[in-house]
Amino acid sequence: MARSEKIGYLIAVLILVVGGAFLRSIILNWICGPAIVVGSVILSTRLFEKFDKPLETSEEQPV
Amino acid sequence: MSWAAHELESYFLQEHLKKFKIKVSYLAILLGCLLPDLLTKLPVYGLQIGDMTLIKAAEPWKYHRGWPGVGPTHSLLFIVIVAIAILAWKKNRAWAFGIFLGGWAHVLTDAFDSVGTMLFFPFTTQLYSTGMWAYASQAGRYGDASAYYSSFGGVWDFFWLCLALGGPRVFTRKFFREEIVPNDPAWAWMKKKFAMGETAMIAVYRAYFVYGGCRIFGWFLWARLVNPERGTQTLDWTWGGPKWVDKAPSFQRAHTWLGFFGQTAFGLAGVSLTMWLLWRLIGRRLWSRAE
Repeated sequence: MARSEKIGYLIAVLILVVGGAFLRSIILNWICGPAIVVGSVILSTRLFEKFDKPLETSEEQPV
Repeated sequence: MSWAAHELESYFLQEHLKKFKIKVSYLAILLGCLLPDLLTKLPVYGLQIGDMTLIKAAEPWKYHRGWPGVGPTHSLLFIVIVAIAILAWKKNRAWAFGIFLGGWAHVLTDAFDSVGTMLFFPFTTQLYSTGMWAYASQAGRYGDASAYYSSFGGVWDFFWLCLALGGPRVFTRKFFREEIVPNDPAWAWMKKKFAMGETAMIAVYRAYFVYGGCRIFGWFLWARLVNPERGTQTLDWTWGGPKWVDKAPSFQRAHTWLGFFGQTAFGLAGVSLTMWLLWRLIGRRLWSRAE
């Protein structure tokens, strides 16, 4: 997994666990929760793409 | 009711389906796992606007699991009928089978709380339950969350998290490419429609796992560290706990063992016969016509 992708998942986990403990169902619901995961990964791969090793970025193949 | 277990079931099922060599859509399993609660949950807790609570059922446990009410959504036959309807509509075996598997997983896992589910509806309205933790939706969303994550309910979620983590290959890019995408045309549609890259599509695939896992810890932390009632709403890992919650009363149950076994035998025979007839008269034809 590319480094930027890992960062995205890590951010999502932090938001959901720590944010969820305080904001509860505002973010811990079946629409916002998964959307936070997808949003974090997409955003972090765009922001931190430059930190990925060339080998990892070439992993991006069409499905 | 189970909280995060329903999001995690789909990954566990996916891991064990390969050995049966059956094509199943991950998205359909997920939808099946969420289906019984999807359009029925709002009146369980009600809609909170300021100090007002709207559209709340007077007796949420009866509304959610009983009859009259939406309890039939938590029955085996309801899921079979929905799966057949999907087969007729989408003509896709992977989707119909996925809805069937996910829906049954939901119905069976909800039978572990103190109210249980009407497994053999409409042949019997008897509720089946192991009574592992207290059903407490009548205490409101946060009361229920506190009761659930202070009891074996939270342990049940954690158990499903461990089961899902027991098959780590389902989360890999290789598994997504080789097993998830080829079984479901929805991924190709999603890629084309939203111009999504593979990383984003994998994030969609993994999203309910990450959300389900984090949900356990988020709610547990809230119940133990933030909840203003945490002094009295303590951790209680006893069967049917927590003792401090005013749990839903028992209803739609046989009073004797003879009554229980009689209704179970009738329900089981009725559901089995109906499923066989549905397969012979409708399902088999639709299955052979589908891809």
